[in-house]
Amino acid sequence: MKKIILAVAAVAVVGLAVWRHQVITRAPETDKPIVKIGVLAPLSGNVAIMGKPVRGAIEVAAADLNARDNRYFYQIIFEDHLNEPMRAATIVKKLVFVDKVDALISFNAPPGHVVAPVAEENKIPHISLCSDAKVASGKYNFINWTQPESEARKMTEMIKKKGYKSVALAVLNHQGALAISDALVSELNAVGIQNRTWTFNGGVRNFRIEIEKMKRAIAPDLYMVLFFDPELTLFIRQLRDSGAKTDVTGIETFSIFSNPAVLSELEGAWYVDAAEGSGETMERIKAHNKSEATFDLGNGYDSLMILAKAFEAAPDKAGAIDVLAAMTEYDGLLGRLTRKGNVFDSEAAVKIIRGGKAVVEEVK
Amino acid sequence: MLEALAYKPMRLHGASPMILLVVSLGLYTVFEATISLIFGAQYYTLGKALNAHQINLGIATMPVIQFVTIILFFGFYIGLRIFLERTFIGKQIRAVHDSTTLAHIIGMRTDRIILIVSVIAGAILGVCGILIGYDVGMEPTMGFNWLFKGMISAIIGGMRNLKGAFWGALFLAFSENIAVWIFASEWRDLISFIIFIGFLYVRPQGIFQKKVGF
Repeated sequence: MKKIILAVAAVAVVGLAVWRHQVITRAPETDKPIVKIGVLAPLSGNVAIMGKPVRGAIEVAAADLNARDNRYFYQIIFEDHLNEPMRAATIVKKLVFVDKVDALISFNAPPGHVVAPVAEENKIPHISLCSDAKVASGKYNFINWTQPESEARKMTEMIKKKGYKSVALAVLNHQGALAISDALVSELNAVGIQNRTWTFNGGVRNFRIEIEKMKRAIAPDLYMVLFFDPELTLFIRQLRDSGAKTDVTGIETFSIFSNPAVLSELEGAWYVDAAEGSGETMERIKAHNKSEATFDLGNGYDSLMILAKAFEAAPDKAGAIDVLAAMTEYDGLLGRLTRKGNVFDSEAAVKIIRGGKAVVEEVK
Repeated sequence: MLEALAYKPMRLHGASPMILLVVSLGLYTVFEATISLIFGAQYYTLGKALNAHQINLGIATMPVIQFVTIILFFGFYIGLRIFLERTFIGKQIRAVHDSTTLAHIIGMRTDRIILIVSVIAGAILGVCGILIGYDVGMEPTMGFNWLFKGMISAIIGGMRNLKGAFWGALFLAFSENIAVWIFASEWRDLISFIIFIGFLYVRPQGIFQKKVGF
């Protein structure tokens, strides 16, 4: 009896997996040739706060593309990499060899580093939404993100304007965060603002000792936090618990709180963020997502549009990479994206927390 | 419940401690996945009330929750020692700990004793989980790291020894935090493992356990 139950359970599990795969990759009903685009993003876990909105933005972009009289029908296959490079390594192989995608979009630097060599080897155009320019290596890999240098320049400008003299940087040991902190340190040093960096591995939950060390080392009048949640929430909470009333800021970080309560505790705080789009399309994406979150929406939407532009203009699918390589700028949801190397760069924005929400504002 | 539904039937089938360990790891994975499915894999903090106030002890300042944790740490240790040494059930637990077979032969209900120990251990772990939740927050995958640190503490102090686990935990906690103070937070886990490997190499029986010869 036990053997029968086990056999039935095993068959059910395999059946469920096959059914799920069929549903996800089912060919759409269309007469047009299909361009398959694989999207790797964190759709669950602590970083899903960034991945889920980008999924919505890409879904809206795909719907917009397929409503047009285009040459191709665009089928999107989403996969959840949980922001884990090892998981991304398995998923990208599934997308390339099983689903046979024609292009890839990946989110965040560590998974991007894993996806890039697979894309290059298999000659598949790949756009990564991340800060680390090293992901955009080779012929087939591109980045669509406001670059660390742009964000660091904007941040340094703000620090000078506000008159801060000493900045403590708390930085996650993560390619994207390190790329931003390196650019920022170089900008701060150039204008003579005292700064010191403390690097933390992911998974740290107790920052109290390091916070005390920061206070004693340089008596900062500004804390710059380059973490994701939960480290971000914990650092800020523990800093405030220690009695420090010092200002806290970040680059991109405040846009990705998974705990909205913390954002409301930072009322009036300002920070520098990647470019943010505006207009009717942004509103449609927000309505589609049933969320006011704006982080990475424009990048997700524009990335699919850039790939589609390349496929539509090329004589065949293989030629899309040449169109992409020749593209020097792109007018999209984020405004004008300018190409530097294999990076589509956009203008950094300054945001301020008002009523528990991050809004783009000219900070005095 | 786990003791009654999983461990006891397996013991009755003659499962070795190693098999029970593997089963417990399997159950850990099942519970972790179930919690993730029900509550999500996100991180949760239990509130700020116990962290908002600091206690100044002269030589150190700490949030209320950490002070409560230290008090409970000593409280549980003293309470468990009194329980094990002064009460009838405590003495039975020690007898089963020394030799389950012999305790069974002289008429002790060893399964009941094991069940009582499981309930006490579960209750203490539950309190620890809540304290961690208030101190630094909680997530479904947090357990393994704490389990590992607990095992290192027990090995440092000497396995099968309450006093050893107590002093081992204190030694490990101080070593980790002093390393963070002197070096950086990246050293926290490194120090734990250096101590762990060092003890396994130099004194595998731990601080309080006498070496057993063959």
